[in-house]
Amino acid sequence: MATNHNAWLEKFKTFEASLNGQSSQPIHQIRKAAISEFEQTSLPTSADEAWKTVNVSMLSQSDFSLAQPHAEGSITAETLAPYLLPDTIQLVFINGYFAKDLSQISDLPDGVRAESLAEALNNNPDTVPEQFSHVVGSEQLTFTTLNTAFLQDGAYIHIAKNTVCERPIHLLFLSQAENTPTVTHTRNLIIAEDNSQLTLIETYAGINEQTYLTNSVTEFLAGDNAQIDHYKLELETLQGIHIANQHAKLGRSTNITSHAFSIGGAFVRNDVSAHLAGEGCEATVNGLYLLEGNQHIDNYTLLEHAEPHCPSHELYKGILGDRSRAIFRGKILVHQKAQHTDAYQKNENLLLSDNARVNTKPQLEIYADQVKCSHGAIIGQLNDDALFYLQARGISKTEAQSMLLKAFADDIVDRVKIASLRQHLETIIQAKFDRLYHAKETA
Amino acid sequence: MLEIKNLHARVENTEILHGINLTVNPGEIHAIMGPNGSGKSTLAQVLSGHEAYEVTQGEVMYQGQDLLALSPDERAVAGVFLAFQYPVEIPGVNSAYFLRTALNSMRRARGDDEVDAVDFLALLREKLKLVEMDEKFLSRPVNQGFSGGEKKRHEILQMAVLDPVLSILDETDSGLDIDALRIVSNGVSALHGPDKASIVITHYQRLLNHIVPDFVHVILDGRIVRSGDKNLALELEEKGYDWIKKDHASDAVTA
Repeated sequence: MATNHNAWLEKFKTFEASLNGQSSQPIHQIRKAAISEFEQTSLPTSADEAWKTVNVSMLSQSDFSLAQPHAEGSITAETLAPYLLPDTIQLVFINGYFAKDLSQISDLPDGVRAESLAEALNNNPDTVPEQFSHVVGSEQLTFTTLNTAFLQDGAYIHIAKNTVCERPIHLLFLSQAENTPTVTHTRNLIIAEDNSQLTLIETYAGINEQTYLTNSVTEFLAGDNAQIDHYKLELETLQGIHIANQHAKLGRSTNITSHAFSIGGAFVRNDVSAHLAGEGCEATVNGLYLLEGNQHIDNYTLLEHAEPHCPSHELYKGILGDRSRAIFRGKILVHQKAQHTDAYQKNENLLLSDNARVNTKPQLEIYADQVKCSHGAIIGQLNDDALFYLQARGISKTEAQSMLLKAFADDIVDRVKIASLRQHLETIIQAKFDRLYHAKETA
Repeated sequence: MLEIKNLHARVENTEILHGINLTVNPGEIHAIMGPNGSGKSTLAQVLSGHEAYEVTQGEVMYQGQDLLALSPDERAVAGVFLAFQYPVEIPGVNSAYFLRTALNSMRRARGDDEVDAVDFLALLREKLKLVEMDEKFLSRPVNQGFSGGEKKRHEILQMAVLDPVLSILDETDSGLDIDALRIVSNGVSALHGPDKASIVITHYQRLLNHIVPDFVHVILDGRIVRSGDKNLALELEEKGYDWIKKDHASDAVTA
């Protein structure tokens, strides 16, 4: 592991050299501070509580080189087509670099900025860096620190006060690892000022059969009375590793809903946190994960209630086939000041195979006394009685299983407010179910 | 239509049916009565193919084919319908969608065209009248939040939509108030015909005031120990099962 740690430091030197003139900009001080912080920490090992159950060795086995911009013309409209959504403001990133020619950012409404972070840093070298890292506050900072050190590009979204951005903004991140394993440190900064409204969709996908690592950080900084709907589609290849830190800081009466759909990835780690930092704000954090083969997913969530009268809702549902593995750790932290907190958390899992495993752990830390907190976890199998009932009505076993799985997943999918995104997800999920059953039948 | 010969079945390691013999012809209604734990419901579950029950001996022929060789859905496609004693709640599956999927699965399996959403709704509205159910039930998940009576009416609605040849009603009358009982039994009677047959499993004689059986059978300890016409049910109502149990016990001793 130590070797690997040093390898990152070496990489930083190469990276720094490649920046040329850019290394004199203020953002570079942030990078340097991050790498020296990283130097003093270490990459997580299985001995760390938060990574205990994870095979972290897969992170050290491969030497990841920094992903390079794609060759002009190597990504065609056809490659992108399966991931695109209609009627969206669309920012496409290949290997972490903004691809302007593949994006659709013309006709932005007044008050909406949607651009590449590299561009935003170039145009506003002094103001944009100040907006970073106000939010990041996860307990697991190593990868965020690494992300900051190698920070170069990503999305910069800014919704001005009193602005309603009606068209959803879709960020599409495609990894095109070629011959050797590569890493992408994607950084997204989403700022929603007072009384603004935004729908943001993130898609992460890979297009080659090579190991790669996506290390992404997405920060939401929301003012007062803002409305944010966020959807994340994690569609990495089964060779991909996806490590994502997503953090939101909410102002007074602000409402955020975030739905994560985790379909791909050999190893996926999501750290999702919401800091309820304004009175009467509300956070909904939901997730659906569907695993086949040897897939592994960790979902670590933190809902931090710092102010009174804030509800939070959390529902994570998973379907696990084959030898897959899922960890759910849901922490609710209620500060003393946060009276009248109403926090609800639930994790439900459906195991389709005797070899699939789930660990689920709620963690409540409550310092206020007028609080309503509830949590629950379910780990079960498809209901045989329900299967028999459907079969007794002439529905084949395979179709009955598919109906029950769909019903389980729809509980999350139905909450998606955009019809075209819902349909898109249904197609992706159905294909996943077909693979889960194919594996089951040939097992 | 249905011929059950020397049927033995067990669940886990306990044998529950010890040799059932029963013949059902088209146009007939057979009532099966018996005290708790006598094997009535097991018979229904075995006929519809529940995996938990293992047939250890005997055979069941249905319309000339070996019923036991068919999977539950194949039996349904062949026209066998079980009205469940305890209909199962299926969260997340909308009732109307469930019913249309069921009907179309059967039509596909029989080589018929599928029914589209518009035609299906028309069919459904007509059948809803039969069981006096409101359309709003169908936008709910299957059986979820239904009262006991609503669940049973929903079973009869399914029977009306799927139009089976052989219906097995497993204690459909249990727990029903008199209105629901009237609705359910009117439904069953309306769906009966000369080409169809029903096996009505019940605990109580009162259902048989509404659905008049051609034959009444009494099950005790996994065997049919007495058969008769509708008067047998009245006799049971009056005397209880004890007199049959005693007779049966002495039969067993002399046998």
